[in-house]
Amino acid sequence: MRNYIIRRILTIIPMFFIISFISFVLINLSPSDPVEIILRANGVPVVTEELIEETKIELGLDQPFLVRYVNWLNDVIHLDFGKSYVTQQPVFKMISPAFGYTMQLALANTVVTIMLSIFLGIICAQFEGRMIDRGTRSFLFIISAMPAFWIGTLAIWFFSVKLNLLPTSGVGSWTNFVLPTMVMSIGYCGFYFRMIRNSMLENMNENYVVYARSCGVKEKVVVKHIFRNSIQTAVAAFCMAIPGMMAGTVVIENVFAWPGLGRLCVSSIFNRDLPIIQAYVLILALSYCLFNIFGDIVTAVLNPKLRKA
Amino acid sequence: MMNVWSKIKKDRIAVSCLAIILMIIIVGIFANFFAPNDPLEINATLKFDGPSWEYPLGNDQLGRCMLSRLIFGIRTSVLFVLVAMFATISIGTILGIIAGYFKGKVDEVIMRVCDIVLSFPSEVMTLAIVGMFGTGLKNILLACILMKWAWFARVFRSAVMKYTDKNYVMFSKASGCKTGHILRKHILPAIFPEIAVMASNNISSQILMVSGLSFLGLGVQAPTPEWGMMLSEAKDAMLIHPYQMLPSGIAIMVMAVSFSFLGDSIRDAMDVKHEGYALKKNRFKRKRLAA
Amino acid sequence: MSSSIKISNLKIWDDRDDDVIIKDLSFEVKKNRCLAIVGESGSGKSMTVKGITGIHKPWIECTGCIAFDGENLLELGQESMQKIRGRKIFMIFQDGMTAFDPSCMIRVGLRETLAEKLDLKKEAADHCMISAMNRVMLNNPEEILQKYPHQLSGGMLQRIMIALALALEPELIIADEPTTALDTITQYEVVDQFIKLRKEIGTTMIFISHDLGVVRQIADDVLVMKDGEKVEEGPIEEIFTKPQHPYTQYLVSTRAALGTNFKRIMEETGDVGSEECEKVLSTGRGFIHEAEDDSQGCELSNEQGRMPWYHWRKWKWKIDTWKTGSWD
Repeated sequence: MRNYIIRRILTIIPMFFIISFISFVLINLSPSDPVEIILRANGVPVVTEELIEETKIELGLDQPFLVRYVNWLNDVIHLDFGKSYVTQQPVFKMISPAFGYTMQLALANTVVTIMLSIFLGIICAQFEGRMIDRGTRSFLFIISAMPAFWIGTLAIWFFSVKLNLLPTSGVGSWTNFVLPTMVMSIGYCGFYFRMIRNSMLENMNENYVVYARSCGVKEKVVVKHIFRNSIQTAVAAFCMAIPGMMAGTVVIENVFAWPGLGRLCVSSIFNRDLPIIQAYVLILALSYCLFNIFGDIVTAVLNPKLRKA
Repeated sequence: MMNVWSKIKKDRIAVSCLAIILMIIIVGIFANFFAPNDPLEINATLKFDGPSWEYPLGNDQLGRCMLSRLIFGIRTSVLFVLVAMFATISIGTILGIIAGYFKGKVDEVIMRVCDIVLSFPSEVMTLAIVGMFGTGLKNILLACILMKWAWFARVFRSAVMKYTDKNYVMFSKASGCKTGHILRKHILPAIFPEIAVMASNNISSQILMVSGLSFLGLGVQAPTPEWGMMLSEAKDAMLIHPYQMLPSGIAIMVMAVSFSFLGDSIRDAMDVKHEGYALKKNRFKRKRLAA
Repeated sequence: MSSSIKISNLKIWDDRDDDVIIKDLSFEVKKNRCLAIVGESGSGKSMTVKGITGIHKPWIECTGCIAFDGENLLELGQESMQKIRGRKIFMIFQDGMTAFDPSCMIRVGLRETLAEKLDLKKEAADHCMISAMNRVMLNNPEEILQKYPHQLSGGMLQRIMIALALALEPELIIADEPTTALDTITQYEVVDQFIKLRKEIGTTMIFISHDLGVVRQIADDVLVMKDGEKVEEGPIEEIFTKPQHPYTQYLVSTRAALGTNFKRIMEETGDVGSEECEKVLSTGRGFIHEAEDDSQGCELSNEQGRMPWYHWRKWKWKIDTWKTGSWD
């Protein structure tokens, strides 16, 4: 078990190099010249060849590709992602508050999604084939096929404009969390709740359930065992859900004017502020990878068959 | 394969979904013929007008005909996504078949590349690619293809592996059929239902994603009509004219729902295991009758 | 303590497609007797006992009368059935490997059952189980309790279930093909435990099997079933020596033929008298399903020179294929 965890954690190292390399290459594939972007963003009126060359040397862009990569990697390890082309501020300083906001939203979403989908999954598995099961399934199926930004705007219109109950956008109190969390988690819920429901149904037909029933164990205890076994598949998926939600917040953040990573990234795309995009890709890909490993480890801990290996 | 088709034909939901999809595609292809007005014609006097005979769904913030924009939007929102999906599936199928059928070194290499591609969250990489190469529908579709093929390749590889061990494939191999012939006549038809399920489930998420990016302004650039962008324009006028948000939103929803229902039906038709589920009334309580 | 059970006019059908599984079944098991129900797969043996304990799928419906302990079990609600199950009627399943929650230690399920049925605290439950497990010849019971199901063999798990029966001292034990999934040697040991179990707590027992050799060792009476109906019923010696119904005759004769075949092979390979051979014969390797015709015998003799395990596996495989298809 310990070996497995150590081996799994060690895979982060090659993954980190691959991820960082790809994020670095992407920037360099960009057809637009970074120097020109910087000069224009700083309001330099006439961009001459000379000026471009000068800035290039100043930024170290004249060095060979690999040297630049190693330098950049060294900076990244020291949490220095470079300077924004547009604001000239360090990227880390711009990204860290946004990361915090996104993390808050993603966590709130994950918690709500997990609770909601476990609750609905159990209910629907218990009442399989009945009205409540079919109704919930088709409702969530349609909801998850609706574009989140559409539900989001409709929700803003209804709850904030029409009823004037909740704030339309921004951050501040807990009321700001309600709409984005609701809109996002209901979409994700459709997927996870089906997974829990199906694995509960599969487990219900297992022999050990019949045996426990035949031993006269209380139904409550039997359901506990079914749940314990069905949650295993879901746990790994939930671990993957957190980075998935961090990435998935892009649209929601823009609808609700949430000052998170997604919004920062989209505005950087418009400004062609490459270092921020680069940092965004690096951070999200890395956290995706970390949570992936975390999910694998949790599954291994929960499943005694895997634990020994 | 035939069995799956005949089951789908009996499924009313699947048939109606297929009908809706085909209808929308046809309308999109012949948009010039179906659209009542020019989608780009600006008419300042008709700003935010309600439905009328000439403009059945009303007019948008520039007085353009909503229905015509919706119909022309099919091309950008649905047809281009379908084309991208077709490219993704082709790449995924070819690589999946190569990996699954020939195995060995080729398989190893393809699967490693897939692992790397799959270790990046697709939403993030799409944003990254759009960020690097600039906004536009072309780049979004390119990003979709780049991020999704690995997933298809992996699923199809395992499907192919399942079938290469089947007796009839072994027999064809043993009786000296050409590899190309076996792939075309045996493997491809066998994995076709799986392709169909994957494709229709993915198209709906892809439509949502492309329209979502257009909603953010990263996709189609104005004034080309696109559903996501129409929604984004309608959002700005939300306070006074909430009605504006409905046509494009409903259009996206209908498209996505149809494709996911269709995918579900195909899966159900393929899957014999779950046939018993919810067949008839399931009485949960132990109901016993005295003699 | 033990009680008799009387089943009359039991009818079981699938509510989804109105498929009748048991047509009209009546039988009685007297106090302290052991009734064996034999018949091929799909004859409704398992369904009958599931109907008795009420652990069938929700869409299965039963009518008739199951008189046990002065009550009609079919009229009882879920609550009172749950009280009866385990304490009064105990079931032992075919496959020990899947009978325990794979993600918990063995003791978790056992503790829950004992807490529910005997009101025992954790330590007391463990203690109770340990002494019962010693009685069924399980070594290191303390260790076994802390193992996960996949770490134990099918035979061990089967014996744990028997130990649980010993601890609960039920009035009626229903064993649903408890030896089918086991290999020959383990089977021999488990059957031994069953005989002991009967001697020790003296309960009424319904023993389902398609293995006539096992049935002969353990049962007092035999009920032969075919297609959801009773074919023949009677004391064990009568059934084996002078079967009335042609189907029963067929079953008994194929078993005898197979036994002879097996002996012949063993003689040819010189294995007769060896320990394995004796065990194989005494547990009655003659499954009903085998030896449909003489060709089976030929097949076996072609493969002479191999260990009996080989033949056993081959038969086991055949049973599995038959189980999925129709036998007739």
